[in-house]
Amino acid sequence: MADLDGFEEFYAGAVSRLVGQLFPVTGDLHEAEEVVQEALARASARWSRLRDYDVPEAWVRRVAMNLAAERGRRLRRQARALLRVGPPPAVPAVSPDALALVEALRLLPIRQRQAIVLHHLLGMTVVEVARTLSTPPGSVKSWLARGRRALGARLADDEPAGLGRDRPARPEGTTRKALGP
Amino acid sequence: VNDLHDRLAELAEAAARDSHTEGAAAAIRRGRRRRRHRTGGSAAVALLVVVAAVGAARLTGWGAVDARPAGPPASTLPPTVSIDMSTGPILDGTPERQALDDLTHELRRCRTGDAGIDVIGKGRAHGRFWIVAARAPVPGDKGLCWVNGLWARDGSGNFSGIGMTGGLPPEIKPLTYTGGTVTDTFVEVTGTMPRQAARVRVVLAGGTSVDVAPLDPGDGYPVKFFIAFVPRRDGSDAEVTGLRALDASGRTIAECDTAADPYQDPSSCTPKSPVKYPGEGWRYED
Repeated sequence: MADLDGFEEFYAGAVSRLVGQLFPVTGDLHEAEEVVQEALARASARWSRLRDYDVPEAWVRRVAMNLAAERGRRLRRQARALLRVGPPPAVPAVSPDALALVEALRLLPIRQRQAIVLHHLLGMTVVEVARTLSTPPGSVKSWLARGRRALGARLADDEPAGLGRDRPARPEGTTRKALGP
Repeated sequence: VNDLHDRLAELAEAAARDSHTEGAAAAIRRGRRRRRHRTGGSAAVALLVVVAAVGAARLTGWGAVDARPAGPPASTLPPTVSIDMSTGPILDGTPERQALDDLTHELRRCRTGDAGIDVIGKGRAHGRFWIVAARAPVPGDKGLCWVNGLWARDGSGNFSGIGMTGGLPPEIKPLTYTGGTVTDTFVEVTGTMPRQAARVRVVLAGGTSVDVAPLDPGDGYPVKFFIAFVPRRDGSDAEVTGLRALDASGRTIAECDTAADPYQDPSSCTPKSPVKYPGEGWRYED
């Protein structure tokens, strides 16, 4: 079908990379796979337009990030409603240091996680992150600062004696969204 | 966290290596199903938009919270529907008051504007309550500080607003929007529109549009505000692709096409015809 020319190649080239980028945000490999697959499905539905973009992958990543935030909120609501802890999240085989980072990231509000991944993993500028997340740059700066501070405290205290000292991050539903630095 | 990039890269590489997705063919099938849903849905467009207009209720300080609307709701134009606009005071000890305190706290960090906090509008939608608040600009200000939020009845929720750099908001633009709360059933869209506009049209992916009447804060502001709750059907895509400000006769006076920008940057709104705002003829009444 002409409308989908090039989509399969695009999919093959991007899907693993996108899952890798979404995993630190979701903290669950299956969750990352699902949001990326859904974002790519949406991309296929409008591929005739997207394929002309300079970087169609940026559009897919943005949609996947939004889906991750949306699903995260829904899953937290469900978990609260059921008053139970769900199955342990799926993670790939990684070093203890990287595993500690996954655990620390899970305690951050989703927006802070997204900002950290886009800025520190993908090397985006604050303005680029703000565009990707459809938010003012000031908010991104704030999320990055708070996220790094929280991660720093947790990872620096990664030794057994330090882990219990930090208060967990506030659940996203009650997080104050800062407007600037 | 000096090695944050390296640790994140290790995570990303491991996840990419171990991931198993359904493949391109499955994505295409899912995309086709979504498109069919969307096409079917647009045949019976039901637009549920919460819109209302009130004048500003000036709050002179933390202790004097009186969010009475100064004027009647603005007239609505088809297909806009105006429902459930709250007009009473915000009472101490309520989740609404706590939410307002949070908004006030953020607005006080802004280095421009009048000292008072204006509740531009408040209301209820989808079992939640929303508030839009701002500080009126004073002569010399080029930016406008405003925030909006949506909370559940128990007070949990979030708010967002215009970003600041060093406490200063960006220069006022006549037509803007912020991406707000997104749920399975609706998307909240909030923004500013020219004072001359009688409504703003929020254009969604696929061509569906909803019209929104303004929240008019009065002449002390160079813009009006709007808030819309756009319904989602079967998880349909409610992505905003454009905004169009219309005057009372239905003439377009400002518009922006976010579809032209893959990142849908709200600041890319381009006026179609001259509109007045600070720096281009807008006058403050001292």
